[in-house]
Amino acid sequence: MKFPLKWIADFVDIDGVHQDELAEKLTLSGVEVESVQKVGKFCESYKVVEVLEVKKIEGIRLPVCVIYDGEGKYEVVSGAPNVKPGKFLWCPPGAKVEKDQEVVEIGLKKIKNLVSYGMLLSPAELGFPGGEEDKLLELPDDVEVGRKASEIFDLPDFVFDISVTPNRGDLLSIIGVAREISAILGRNFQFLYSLPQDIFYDFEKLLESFLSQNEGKKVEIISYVDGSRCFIYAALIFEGDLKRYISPPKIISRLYLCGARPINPVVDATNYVLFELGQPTHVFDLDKIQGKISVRTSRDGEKILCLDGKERELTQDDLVISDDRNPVAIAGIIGGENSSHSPSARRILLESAFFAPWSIRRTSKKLGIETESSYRFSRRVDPSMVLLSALRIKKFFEDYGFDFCGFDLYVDSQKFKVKNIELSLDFLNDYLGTNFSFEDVLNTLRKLWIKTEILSDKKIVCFPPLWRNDINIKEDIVEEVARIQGYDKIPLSLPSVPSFFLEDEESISRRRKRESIKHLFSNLGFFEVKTYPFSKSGKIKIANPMDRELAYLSANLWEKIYETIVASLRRGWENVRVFEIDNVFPEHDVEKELLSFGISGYSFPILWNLPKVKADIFDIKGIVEIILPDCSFSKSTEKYRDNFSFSFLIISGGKEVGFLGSIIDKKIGTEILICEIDFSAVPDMFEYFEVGKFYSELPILQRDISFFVPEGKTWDELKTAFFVEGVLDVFVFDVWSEKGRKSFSARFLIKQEKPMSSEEINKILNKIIFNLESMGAEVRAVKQS
Amino acid sequence: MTEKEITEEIKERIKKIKEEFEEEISKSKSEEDIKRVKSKFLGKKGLIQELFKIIPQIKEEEKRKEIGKLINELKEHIEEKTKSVSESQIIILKEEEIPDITLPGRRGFLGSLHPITITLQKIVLIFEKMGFEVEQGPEIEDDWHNFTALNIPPDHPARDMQDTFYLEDGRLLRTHTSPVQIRAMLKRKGILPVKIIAPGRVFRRDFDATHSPVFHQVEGLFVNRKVKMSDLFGTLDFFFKKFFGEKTKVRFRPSYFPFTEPSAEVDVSCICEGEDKNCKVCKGSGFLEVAGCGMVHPEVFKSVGYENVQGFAFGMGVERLAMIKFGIKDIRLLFGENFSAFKKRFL
Repeated sequence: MKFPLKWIADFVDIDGVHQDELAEKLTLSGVEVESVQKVGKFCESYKVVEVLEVKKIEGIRLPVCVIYDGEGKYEVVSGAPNVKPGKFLWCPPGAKVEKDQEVVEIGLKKIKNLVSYGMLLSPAELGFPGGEEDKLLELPDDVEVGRKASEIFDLPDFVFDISVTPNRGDLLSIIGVAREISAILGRNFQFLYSLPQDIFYDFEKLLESFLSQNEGKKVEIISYVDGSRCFIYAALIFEGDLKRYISPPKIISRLYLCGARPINPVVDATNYVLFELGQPTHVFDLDKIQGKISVRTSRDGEKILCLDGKERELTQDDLVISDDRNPVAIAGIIGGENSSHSPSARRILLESAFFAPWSIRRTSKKLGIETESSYRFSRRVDPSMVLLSALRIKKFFEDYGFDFCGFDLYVDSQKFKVKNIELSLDFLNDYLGTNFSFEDVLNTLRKLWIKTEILSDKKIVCFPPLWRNDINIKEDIVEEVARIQGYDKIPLSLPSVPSFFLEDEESISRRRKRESIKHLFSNLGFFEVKTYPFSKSGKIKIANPMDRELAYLSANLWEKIYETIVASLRRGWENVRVFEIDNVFPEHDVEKELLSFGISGYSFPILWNLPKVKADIFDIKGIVEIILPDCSFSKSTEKYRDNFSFSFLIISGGKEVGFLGSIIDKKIGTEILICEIDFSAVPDMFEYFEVGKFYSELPILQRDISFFVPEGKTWDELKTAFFVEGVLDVFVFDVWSEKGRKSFSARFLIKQEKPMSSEEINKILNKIIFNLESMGAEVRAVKQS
Repeated sequence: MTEKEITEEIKERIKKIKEEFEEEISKSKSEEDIKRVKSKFLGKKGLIQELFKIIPQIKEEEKRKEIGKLINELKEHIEEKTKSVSESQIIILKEEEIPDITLPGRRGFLGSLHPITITLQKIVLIFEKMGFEVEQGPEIEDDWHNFTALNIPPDHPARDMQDTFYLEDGRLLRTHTSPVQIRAMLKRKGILPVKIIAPGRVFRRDFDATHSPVFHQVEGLFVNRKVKMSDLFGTLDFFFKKFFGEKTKVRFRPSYFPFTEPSAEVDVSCICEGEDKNCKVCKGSGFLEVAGCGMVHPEVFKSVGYENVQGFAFGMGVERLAMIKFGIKDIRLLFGENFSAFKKRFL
């Protein structure tokens, strides 16, 4: 929310407080100041002028204005659409204008025979953030020619932009921020006129005061109010002719500084009070209202053309303001076109109400409309300001030429009972770890308008004011004291008691496994990636996806790994190795943790001293063999056929735990190799040892054996020939094919428990040869390696 | 030949033999080589013996002594050098044989853990040492765990703070790790203290340079009979000093979260120390917002049936911490084809 500092000064004395100091104090007390901007730096040099005449001069495209600044007449060209005789602001030659954060000096401009003096200013050129750029700022007739812009607009000023937390609806007004500043600075707060203080705690008193001020003015205009969604509804009726077309300069300037734009004096007055007191109000053209007003929920399918030109369809969960026939406004959110007020309206109805925040919030969310009004209603307006705001606007209207004709009012005072909250000083200090005195606490609460009653020694009852709906329990009071005293007053201590470590073995093991597998992959040359688990298809659909194309939660991880590799190849990278471990959502109620990784490019880095070998399926398989030592592979027939050039299922512990495959896409050209494994199937890396398996005092013996087999025999079958007692392990180190047969060269290791004689070694060898030959192999060489 | 010419010639021969020896010994790489060199120079028919045979030809006593000394010196040099070479075992290569060390080394590919993983590991390590244990919860949550139990009833304006992804079956993707607080307390059935952290992936409908629809949080919760706000501040002050360095200033600012009361935002001092008004990291404020925290709201305890307890909770964005720590400007670099977030990428 934006507010100009000088408006705050209407309510609290801020003399001598630097704007940056104030910003820091606000931030440190819980009202985060996002920016402080100086507005109207050069206003001192701008003057109010009267445009006496607008003329066309032969050969000059733009209209030429004859202006009078109280001393002399000048000619100025202006291309603005709203240039006409009347009062405007003028930037004389030699003065500066800030445009798009650049300062420009305005001079004399010679156009043909004409010398154009300075320029007439738009709201944006004047320095109003968000002001119109393409039209001139129009001033009312009662502004004196020759006066400085800085005087009539009370500029320069500092505009604060604060972010208000959702619990503090009371800060969405000048008066609310001013009260907060008064508490932070410890300075007095003053309302616009004097008021009995207890009306801020006792709604009945406030009501009495309103009724007595307007005695005899009661009329019947409200026919029905839905008491579950509307707690106060005040309708004030006026008649007359609007005397002015443009609001006074102070109102114009303050509206701009709060981020609004002036429209006409009636609307401006309601907006002015909205910003000042935080109460949104609405003006209806009474002549367009048929019969009486009712505040009711809509009928399903009922339609209303809103003030923004859009038609909206409503449901019975939406609160509307209606006349005897149709809705005339969506309550608290936006007015209807059919009842809209215009400056020529003679009979008007001013609405000031308190709507249930949840109701406004729901409708505003559903329809996607957020207005200054709905924003405030959905965060709860201050009930004590509903009637006071109406009275404040009434004064403006009367000044503008309207007569007050009467009011109607619905109130449910029961909704605004004051709360009482008990608190002891000991609790407060124990809870915070502080040592605040009783005096400190009482003083702080007083500054915040929280009334207190002392119960006994260091025990109090607190009564928060009507606008503080966020204070309900003693902890809320504790926070109020702490934040005004300053969180820096809270010391630092450490709870030394440790947890009981209830985390189960499985969860610990899974965390450890995740870490070690991640380290393994990073050491194998893979980059860990994080992808978004949103996909084109899947089992679980998102009702409100960010991208309609990606409306499902991913059921696998490999597609994301594939996309990542493709994106990387597109960016010109030749070697890509990536992996991810994350959850996917393959079925309802299943969050499955998967490991997926992929390779494209070469097996080794492109270096002068390494072979240039294209990566293939065995680069992937080699890694699967490390993390799943006991797995086997079977040809995948159906599952991945549509997406993969070829693929194999990975079987471990008798179950399918994943797959690996190759994708050769014609458009991409390069082969991409992908693997996906159910992470729960991966054994804990800590379980990979078998003590003593490879240990022997005696050296390991190695023998190489080469043999031919008919084409079609797989290594998986042939390997079993080496499963002979004494053989520790076997590796293939060469494979080639010729004329329908295949040659294998394998090396196997023999562990010597005792020194082995050559006969004993030969016995093992012969067994292997026998096994191989019985599989149809033709052994061609045996060598000591 | 005069006497003088003979001695000069012998001296010349001695010099040449020495050069020949040096050449050959430097090339000797095995025991065999050394043996061969030894017999060539020192053997019974070796070059040194040949030299000795010449000595008698010199008549002049002094010259003879001089030459004899020179030959002996050479003999000793050869004996010593062959001995030391054969003993040292190390072959010292000549300049031109030494490889060009500026060529790249032979290595495999080098990958990297994700910055988020590295950051998470560090966060978890510090909290584990402080006696917190790790809890995890599901990513698909129901409304009760994610909102209602955390004192965010339907139509509460605080729901606007977190734009939620809803599933068609009415459940949602958790918007924060706070539901793990609820799950952890329910699981422990009142056993005190509850002292946990919950790292995890969370989801919000938001996407720009500082917001990603998927990001990571670490939740913390400490519940016991008596817990003070100063315990919360002390814990987080300790943590952020360990995480960012002992010089870090940690500042607490009042804020609002429905599930804590009182609530605070946590800021840490920026590396610019507030000196640089144009600092791009902290935008000149000198502080960076890194976490939210507070004392657990009594309504939260009510929803899990805990009585007569107090507690604190906190939540921090892992991406935010990683971005500060690694100087990453755009959160989107952390997701998808994200190698630009890494320091080095090998070919």
